[in-house]
Order: sequence, then structure tokens, then C-alpha cells
Amino acid sequence: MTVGLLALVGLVLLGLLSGSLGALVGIGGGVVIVPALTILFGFDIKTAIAASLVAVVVTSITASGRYVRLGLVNTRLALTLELATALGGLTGGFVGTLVPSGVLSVVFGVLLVVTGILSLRGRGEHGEQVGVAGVEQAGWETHRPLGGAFWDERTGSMVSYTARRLPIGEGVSFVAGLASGLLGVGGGVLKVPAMNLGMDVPVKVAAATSSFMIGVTATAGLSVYLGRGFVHPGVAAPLAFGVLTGALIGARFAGSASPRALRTILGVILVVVAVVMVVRGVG
Amino acid sequence: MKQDTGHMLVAAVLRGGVGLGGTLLAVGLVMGIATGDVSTPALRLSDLFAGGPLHARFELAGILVCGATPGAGVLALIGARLRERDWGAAATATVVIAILVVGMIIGHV
Repeated sequence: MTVGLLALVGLVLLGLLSGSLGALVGIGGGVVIVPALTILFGFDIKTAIAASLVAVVVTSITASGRYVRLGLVNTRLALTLELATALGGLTGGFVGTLVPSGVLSVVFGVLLVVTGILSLRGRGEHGEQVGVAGVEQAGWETHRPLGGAFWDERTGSMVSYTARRLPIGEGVSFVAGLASGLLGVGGGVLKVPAMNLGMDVPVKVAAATSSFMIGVTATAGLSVYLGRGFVHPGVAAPLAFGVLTGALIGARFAGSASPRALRTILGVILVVVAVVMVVRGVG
Repeated sequence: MKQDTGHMLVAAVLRGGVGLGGTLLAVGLVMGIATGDVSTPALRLSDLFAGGPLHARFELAGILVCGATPGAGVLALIGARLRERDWGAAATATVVIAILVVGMIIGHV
């Protein structure tokens, strides 16, 4: 297989777009990258999924490196939910042959439409300003109950929050892991709305925490594809390089972005991805 | 509420991974373009030190570094939580790593 200069530039541009959007709203971009690589570039599905997993990991580590430093990632919440995601991924690996992927694509797509519409309707302003302006220490967390506080660049104040209804987050994270194991996607498109709309976590923290989680989830899948020789560095490397640059740009703007803008971007992405998933499932 | 000392450690690990992985990816890409070698062989882990064009091996090394970074971040978190004597969070992180390792082993079999 060879990649011409034009395709190489195209891969970098796809990575730039995916990385910047992914970093902004806490998704890996696998559900966009896989169809783009197979339909637009003509790569086979295994090469596309392997390259997509590399892109998801690079988006995650690039964006969350900044978010962790800023205190936007709630690491206790991330690992609590990652437990369910990892179990879901493991279950997905076992039952992958029993459930037709087309059926799962349609179910996943319908779920995304619902969460996309909820995001676009504008619910999800959570957290309260705690009036310690001037304090910029990052990384405040509580563990009983799960919660914390972060410095909101946009409003210039500390915002505190408590994660509620943990079972909803655990349940959706399990489904996200299941989808990851069965469909080769990161599951961030489900985790961010689950944390924001279901658990009352501010959207910036939800996106940043999801960003951290998707890298951990994708690593397991990537190792399998690496071990089986499906990773084409000539495809994955330019994509990853674009993603890295895009994620740095996206993460820089995420701190000062308004929650409404982030939810709108997320909602639009969810609906577009849902259409792609349903079409793939039916097709 | 207390300031989380583990955050800075995890951030350093993630940024280190991005820096090293990104550099290796960039070197591989530039080498490939400079030599006009646009072949993209599928490489396994074992091809890192032997097999495949040099630029592709640099790119593979970058991918490996990036791929190992999230796990290294979780390991750093385990260390930070143990230092804080937050046994519950340390145990959760350890179980996550254990499940991922089991998944990888099953996936390779």
C-alpha cells in the first residue's frame, strides 16, 4: 500500500479537524475518522479502525495533558467510570460475535440522536461559583461525594460541583465500553452527555474527564491491532500528527469557551454521528 | 476539599508522552517525505527494531510511545493516590489497569 502526497496532506487535515473538535468536546473522533478513511480514502476497515484508535489516543493524551494541569479533569470520577467502560469493553469483546454490528449501530445511533437533542436544548448548566476569585490552584477534588472545583477562565471564578446519580454514569459508561469493543469507537460521544446531563457535572469538566478516559479505553484496542499487524504507520502517523496539532489548538480554546457553545458543538456532532451510525447499520 | 498533588505528576507524564511521541512521528514523516518513500507497510510490534523502512519504524515508535502514555498516566495516578493514602482510588485505578491488561491478553490470543 502507498500513500501519495495529496492523500498525506488530506490525512493531516482530517486529523487537524478531528483533533480540534475532539479536544473541545471530549470525544476521540473515531466515529468520524473510520467512515472518512474507508469512504473518502478507500482504506480497508481494519486499517481504518487501527488508525482511528491511534488518533483517539493522541487526541486524549494531547488534550488531557493540558486539562489535567488546569484541574478540569476529575481523575477520581474518570477512573470510577472507566471501571465500567473497561468492563463493557471486555464484555463487548466476548459478545461481539453474537450481536449483529448493524443492529448495534442503529441502537447506538438512536441513543446519540436523543442525547444530541438534549444537548442542543440547552440543559446542563451545572456547578456554582464559590467566590474565591484570584485562586487559580488546579486540581481540587472530593471523593465522598465525587466532585470538585475548577477555575473557570471565562468567568474568572472558581466553580464547585458534585457528581450526582453515579449509577447513570456507570451504566452509560458500560454501554460506551460495549460500543467501543463492538464498533471500534471511543465512546466519548456517550460519556460527555451522561456526565453533563445525567450526573450534573459541568460540561467543561465532563469533556475534559471524558478526554482523559477515552485514551485509556482506546489503548487496549490499539494493542490488539498492533499485535495483529493492522497498524500502517504511513496512514496512522500523518493522521496522528494532524490530531496532535488540532488537539493542542482545541484544548487551548476549551478553557475560555462558553458552555453553551460547547454543548451546541457537541449536539451537532452527536446528530451527525448518529446519522452516520444509522446509515452504516441499515446499509 | 484538598488540592490534588497527583494532577501535576499525571500532567507531566501525559505531556512527556506527547512531546516524545510527537517528535518521533514528525521525524518519521519528514524522513518519508524527504526520501520520497511513500510505502506504508503494516508493522507489528516486533518490526520496531528490524523490518520495514526506517521512517515507518520511527513512526511506529511514535505510535507506541503515544499508546503507552495513557497507561503510564494511570500508573502515575496510582502512585499519587497511594502517597495520599487514598486506598479506594488507588484500588480503583489498579483494577482498571488489571481489566485492560486482561483485555489485551484476550485480544492477543
